[in-house]
Amino acid sequence: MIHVVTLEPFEAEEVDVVCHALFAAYGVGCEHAAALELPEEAREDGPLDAVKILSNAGPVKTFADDKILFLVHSPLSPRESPVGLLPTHGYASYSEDKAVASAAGLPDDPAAQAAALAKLAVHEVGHLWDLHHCLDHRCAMCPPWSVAYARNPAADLCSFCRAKSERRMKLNPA
Amino acid sequence: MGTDPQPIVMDETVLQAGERVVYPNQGVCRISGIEVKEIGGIRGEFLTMKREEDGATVMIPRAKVASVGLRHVAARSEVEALLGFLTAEADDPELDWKVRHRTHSDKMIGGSLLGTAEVLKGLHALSLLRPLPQRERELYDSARHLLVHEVAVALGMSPATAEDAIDLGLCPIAGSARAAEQARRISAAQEAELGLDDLNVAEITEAPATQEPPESEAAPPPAAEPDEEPSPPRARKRAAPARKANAPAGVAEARKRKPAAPKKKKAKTTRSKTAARVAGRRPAAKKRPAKRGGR
Ligand SMILES: [Zn+2]
Ligand SMILES: [Zn+2]
Repeated sequence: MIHVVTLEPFEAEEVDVVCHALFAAYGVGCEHAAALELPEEAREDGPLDAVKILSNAGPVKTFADDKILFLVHSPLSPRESPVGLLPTHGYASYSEDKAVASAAGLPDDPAAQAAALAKLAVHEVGHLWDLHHCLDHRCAMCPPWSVAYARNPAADLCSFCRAKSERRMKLNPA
Repeated sequence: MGTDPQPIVMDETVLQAGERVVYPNQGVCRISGIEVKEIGGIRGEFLTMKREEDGATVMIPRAKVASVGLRHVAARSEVEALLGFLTAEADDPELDWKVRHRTHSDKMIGGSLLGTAEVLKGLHALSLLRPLPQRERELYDSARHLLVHEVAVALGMSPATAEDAIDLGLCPIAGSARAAEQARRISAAQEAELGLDDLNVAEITEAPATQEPPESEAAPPPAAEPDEEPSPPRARKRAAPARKANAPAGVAEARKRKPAAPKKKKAKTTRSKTAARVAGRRPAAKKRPAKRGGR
């Protein structure tokens, strides 16, 4: 089961689109589980701290192997790395149970924004099942800043990532 | 590379409990110690360790430690140099699959950080010209998985941040000067007829990377299973209730439908945390520890 938890106000239709895309990609139930307050710890002067969202948002009632996806509108702070600041559209605790996706920077048009957020949601939740970034130009697991990702609006997984997620789910059913 | 790679551990007595090492093709492990075990009726001393990513127990007969290629986790300076290597312009990819197969196998068995990164970068460069066969697609994912976890451990960052740092080098940001330069180089490589004269560039860049290469290139070893049929990305197909089979393929279609009804909650499952492994043998599937419902 995938629990979508909004931490800032979202239109119900947009959350529906996200839930549908997650269901289509992973074949497990997905629901808008709750609308919660953004945790104080994640608020900074500017963008939100994605890591602190994962560690402080909630609580959300789940069962073993359930996944939680937090949705926010505010931008997330780019993370530091030796190669420079990393574009941070979302963030996931790999192989664990929590991810966050931000609608910041997505198109203003509601339908286009919902579609883009759904693709990002599929990407971040994929990391929870240990999917890595993909080199298939039509796969949602391409790096979200990449040319390939930008070129294709669909939230689909390629056959490789789909098969890998299925194998992971057999080990840890959601 | 900017710094020397970690040497292979030839003497297990230098390893302390709690130390982290890299086991080629297995990843980062934490040393537990030397234990006496009886496996298959044979009693012997084993160097035991726990794989960091899933807690699986890995055991190496003491006499074989020097031959498996254990090494310490790369130093920060070595990883930083590696990230620079990934960002640098890639060499022309090796187009002879036999040569590629041999060099990539050697690098993965060797298990060095740079060797694994060379496999990743080489296959990534090749994928920009032509779709990878299934076997190399799997190799690419294994190399990526090993690198992500070692970079994360070495730099004290999460796997998510480690993978993004790796990919910021490999995949330039859309609209950036580097992205334009990469596109220019791909076109030039294709025009230079790197054995690709019969391939349509526009079609390739749109094609799924898991598509099969020409028959001669995809030929697996005799004992191997044939690679799967090429298939474009699509909505998940499963043997599942009708609602699932009708799951939308794309977001636009998805918007017209109601959300899926929540599944019944499943009882908590318990899994063995121990996936014992003897050196040189790999189980059919990794076992992972049971997950908690929330943290
Ligand atoms: Zn990602
Ligand atoms: Zn993929």
